[in-house]
Amino acid sequence: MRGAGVVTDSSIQGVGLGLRPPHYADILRSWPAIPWFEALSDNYLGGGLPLHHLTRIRERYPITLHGVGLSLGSVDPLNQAYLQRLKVLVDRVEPSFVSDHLAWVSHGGRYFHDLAPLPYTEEALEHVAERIQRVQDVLGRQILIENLSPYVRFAGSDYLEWEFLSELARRADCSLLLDVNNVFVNAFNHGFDPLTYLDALPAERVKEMHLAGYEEEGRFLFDTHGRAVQDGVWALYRQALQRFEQVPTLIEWDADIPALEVLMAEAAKAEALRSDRLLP
Amino acid sequence: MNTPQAPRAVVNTAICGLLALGLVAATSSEALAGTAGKEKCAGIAKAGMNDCGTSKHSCAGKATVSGAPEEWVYVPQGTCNKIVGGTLKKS
Amino acid sequence: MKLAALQQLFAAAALGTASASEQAHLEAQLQGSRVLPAWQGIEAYRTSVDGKLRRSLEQIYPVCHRLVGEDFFQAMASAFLEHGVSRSPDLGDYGAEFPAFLSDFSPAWSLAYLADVARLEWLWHRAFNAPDQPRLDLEALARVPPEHWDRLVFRLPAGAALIASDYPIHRIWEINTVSTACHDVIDLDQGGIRILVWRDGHSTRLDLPSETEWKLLQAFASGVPFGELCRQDFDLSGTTIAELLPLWVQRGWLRDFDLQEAAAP
Repeated sequence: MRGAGVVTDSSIQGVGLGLRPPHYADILRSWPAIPWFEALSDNYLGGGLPLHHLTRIRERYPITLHGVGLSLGSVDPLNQAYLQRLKVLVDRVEPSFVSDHLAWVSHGGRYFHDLAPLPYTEEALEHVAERIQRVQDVLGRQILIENLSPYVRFAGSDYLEWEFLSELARRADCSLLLDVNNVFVNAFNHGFDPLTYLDALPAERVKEMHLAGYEEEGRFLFDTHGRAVQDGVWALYRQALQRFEQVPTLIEWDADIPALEVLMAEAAKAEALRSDRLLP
Repeated sequence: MNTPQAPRAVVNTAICGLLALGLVAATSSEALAGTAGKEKCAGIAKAGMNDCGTSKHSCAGKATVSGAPEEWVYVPQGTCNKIVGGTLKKS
Repeated sequence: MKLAALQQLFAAAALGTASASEQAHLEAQLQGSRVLPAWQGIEAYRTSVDGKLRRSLEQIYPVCHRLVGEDFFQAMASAFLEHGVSRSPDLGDYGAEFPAFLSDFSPAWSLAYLADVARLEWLWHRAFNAPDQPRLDLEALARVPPEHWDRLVFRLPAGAALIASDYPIHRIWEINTVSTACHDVIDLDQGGIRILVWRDGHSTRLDLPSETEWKLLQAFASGVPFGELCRQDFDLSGTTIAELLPLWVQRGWLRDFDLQEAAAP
């Protein structure tokens, strides 16, 4: 089906958008000028109509696959059935990147579908690094690991979060997906300087960044992905661009999803900051 | 009713008829398939189930009534008022 | 504390099943901040987990949601969440037991059709997400020698399901999903219905088979080999299996076949 001018190169650049079902019709009708889309892998594992749409969109755009189900930090055994389904999807979609989170979402075979944080201990580091390696072996490629915005911090940690993430990437030989909003929310909630976080990460391993909107809940911040990117996060993104340069960036929006144009306007804002950086 | 065929002959007639489909031009298939008895319901863009944001569901934690009937305070108040008739089934 | 023990405590707290002492034990492992004390952090996870499970029920059961309204639905969901455990990383797999739960749920017994509507919604959701399948492969069928035709087992599409109800659940479903039908009133006395839920390419469909078709569909759905099916004395109201088989293959109702293992000699 791929004709002349159709994107077959799987490398991505610029500012992409999270692919969400309310926008399928718009995308398939008007093929908007968006450099790439990120699909939530977990929503395409069953196949069916969702995968059908994704396959059509893949014919025209590069795709990255982002997941929430690997439960990399869990002490449960790796869910091999899930991993095999993910592999089938990866082989079919040929994504530019495959990513999941520094998190666990299950215990005792019971899933709670929310990204729980790990204590930053040597035990946890070894555990999750080994699991990432096994996933990479099965998929036959490097994966990207994304930082969370944890709402709790464990007292008995051996590392700070950014040290843990950096060491994890080195040991597992994986890449990193830096969620700038999560760093901002995390720094606010737990009282540290977000620039310390950015400075500590190995720049050569950061392959993608995420931007999303948080909401205030009492005195702390909630990572809801339910509104436009906030000013403080844009400011931090500017700093991140200094350090990680032209790393492809995604606009994520998961709750109260607005029209595609609203997301494209957010992407344009991010693009403007990226070109500003290029000015002398 | 037709004269009953031997089961073996029924199988053979049916499968031969099916294989003959391979010979029918694709254009005629719609007409042959027909639409009688079909009620079409267009596929809608169903929301994806999984995401990675924190849920701030407006109802979360609000309705904490247990299933015990004597504690039940809610009354169905949706489009069910458009459904009439029927005798209530007592289990 | 070891990772396994910590995760056990945290999971219980996030799922809202932790005892007061477990909760206290977990809090002792946490370091709160000025704006976000430890207990509030745990509460953030409990709320988010609850919200995600609830939202997935709303998305899989939108007709039930509309039928009973927001408050009643959330209260039903609360009761279900006390028992409903998610065993799959995919939230789309969650909530299969909701229809059965509604059957036993006495506060909803005044809506006798509710559990059947829920059953229909679950089947619709599964058909929507079932794998794509090509049409039945006639070339492969032509390669099956005639002496094995008795053992052919024809299959309905992946994710296809048959559902019968004493109530017109297809009409109830329709007035709550198709916006143009929203002013209609449904009379339960119009009687029951039999439905084949399946997906044909882009369309997830509710087909209404005739009584004759229904019996035959049930036989195909339960994997009866073709020879045996032809020997059963179906009343096909004047038509024959030989007429229906090509029609159903073209319609897409029969999508695949395999051969039943030959009986041991």
